Amino acid sequence: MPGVHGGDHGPTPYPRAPGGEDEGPLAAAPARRAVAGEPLPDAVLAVEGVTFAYQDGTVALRDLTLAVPRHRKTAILGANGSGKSTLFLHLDGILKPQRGRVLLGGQPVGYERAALNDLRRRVGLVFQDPDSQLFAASVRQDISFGPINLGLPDDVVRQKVAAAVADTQIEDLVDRPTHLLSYGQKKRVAIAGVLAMEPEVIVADEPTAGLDPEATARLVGLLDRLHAHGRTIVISTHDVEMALAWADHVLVMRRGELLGAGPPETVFADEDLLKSARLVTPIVLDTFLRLRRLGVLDAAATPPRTAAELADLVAAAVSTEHDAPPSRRVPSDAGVPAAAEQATGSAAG
Amino acid sequence: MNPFPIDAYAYANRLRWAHPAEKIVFAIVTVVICLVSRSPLVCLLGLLWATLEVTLLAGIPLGAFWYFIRVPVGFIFTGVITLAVIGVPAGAPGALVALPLGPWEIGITAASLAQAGQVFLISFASVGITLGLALTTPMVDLTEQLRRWHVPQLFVELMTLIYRFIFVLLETAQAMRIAQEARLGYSTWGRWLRSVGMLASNLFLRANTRATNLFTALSARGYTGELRVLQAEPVWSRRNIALIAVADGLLLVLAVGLKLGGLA
Repeated sequence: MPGVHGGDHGPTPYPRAPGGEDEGPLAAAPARRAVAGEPLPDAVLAVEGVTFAYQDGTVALRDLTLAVPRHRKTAILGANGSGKSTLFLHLDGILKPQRGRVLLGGQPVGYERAALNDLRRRVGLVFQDPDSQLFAASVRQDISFGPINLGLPDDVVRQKVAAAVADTQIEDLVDRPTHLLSYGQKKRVAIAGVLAMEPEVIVADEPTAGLDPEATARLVGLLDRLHAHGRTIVISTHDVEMALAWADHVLVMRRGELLGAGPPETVFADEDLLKSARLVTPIVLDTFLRLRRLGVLDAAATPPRTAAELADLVAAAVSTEHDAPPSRRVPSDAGVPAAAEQATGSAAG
Repeated sequence: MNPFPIDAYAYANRLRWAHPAEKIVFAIVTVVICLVSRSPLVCLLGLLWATLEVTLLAGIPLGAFWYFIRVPVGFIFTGVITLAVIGVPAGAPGALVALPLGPWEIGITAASLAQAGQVFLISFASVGITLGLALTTPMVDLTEQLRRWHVPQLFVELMTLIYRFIFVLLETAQAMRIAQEARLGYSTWGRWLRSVGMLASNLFLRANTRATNLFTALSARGYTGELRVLQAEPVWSRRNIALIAVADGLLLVLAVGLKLGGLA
């Protein structure tokens, strides 16, 4: 897939379908193979051969190598205990790899105080449980903690707090005590606290876990806004639907190892990969693949990311069907077994 | 939503945005005058000021004030009973009520009653005035003000963290308690005891984990041993300062007057 990664930072750097002229087996190669082969260009964060075991002997990361592309929306997927949170603690220098190294902007991360401060200024880590992050009694105080630690003068801190508050749309919460916030509100305040340090990369551990649909939608909207302002966003999740709809780069982990990486339509079409990672195919994509196998959808159709996109595809297919002569309706040569492999949508023009 | 109604009032009363120093100074000065003068009249006036502060200025219903104050006052009351009831040698003069007990009598004398009344009023006033502060001033404002007064950092940070974690741990404890109750953990006295013990020891472990997590999360935001945050900039109110001066001035005049007049 030449040129797919080359185009530097459009708003959606990954085209939905890597639509190249070459439509051979290469384009449909399983995501796994794409990992090993492709060095990611312009990775803002990367880990190389990182191994980490906790004191009780649990090996959380095994010779893990992966990269987070700059200015992208990356989702790291994996079942519980796959090492996502441990990885995140490495990305922020909280944990130090026992073997291997962490790279920020291509440079190995140092672990002396000044280097760590620099890392933590540039990489903002949002924890899964907001209660472990919010320590101050008032929202405003809590958000100001990070920028003050950067050694900024008070008036600058005030500006940064105001900007973070505006970005996360929590103006109505600033004077509230932290303990009277709802879970979703706490999540947003926790993000504001990280945002006030103006990091290049925001790493959020399970940002939507435990949120109701509306709060999830708000949070996803917030992440999108932050991304639109030029930040690299990394989240961990096991919500495959959300990852498919939101992310433009997906990393799949299992037992501290990287299992696959690539654009979500590709990764999520790989059933074997998902199965061994103890994940499932997103319903939208699963439905799409089934419809394509049944011949309702064209084999060349672009995989949808959301239910709305899928509905559009189906509606378009149905309307052309009405215009077409009846004979074309029958799925004769739809190539059922091959369908899964054509998930990138670029095959069979 | 707020498990502590006092805390809820502190965040939502008409004195919420008054300068915390005004409220703290008023509380301290009034309590000190009451404690030093020890005069029942002064204490009653101090209590009246606190009541007016809470009801008229802060807009908190008198019933709520009484609701919060009655528990400590109940304790104080039972406490001063032991001051009123004393043992005296049999036949000693001045006993109002006496219960003979060998060569002694257990009873109440005018002097013991007066002493009990005095201690009761002093304590009542002190608790009332302090509660006035608690009901009108959120913890955040208190710690911020202490910081402005250069109270040692460690002390203020501990106050901040303890306050924050009261709520975190209380939520945890409540959740655990409900979970235990749902599995019949409190159905008999024996199980109750066992469940409470498990809850307490578990809470201790949770607190420990929380502390570790907090440290990790703070480190991620550049924590280097000092919890510095942006301070609010409260504004002084001429009206409040004038009111405090008048109220405490009157109280002081009364206290000094009583002292000089030898009444107290």
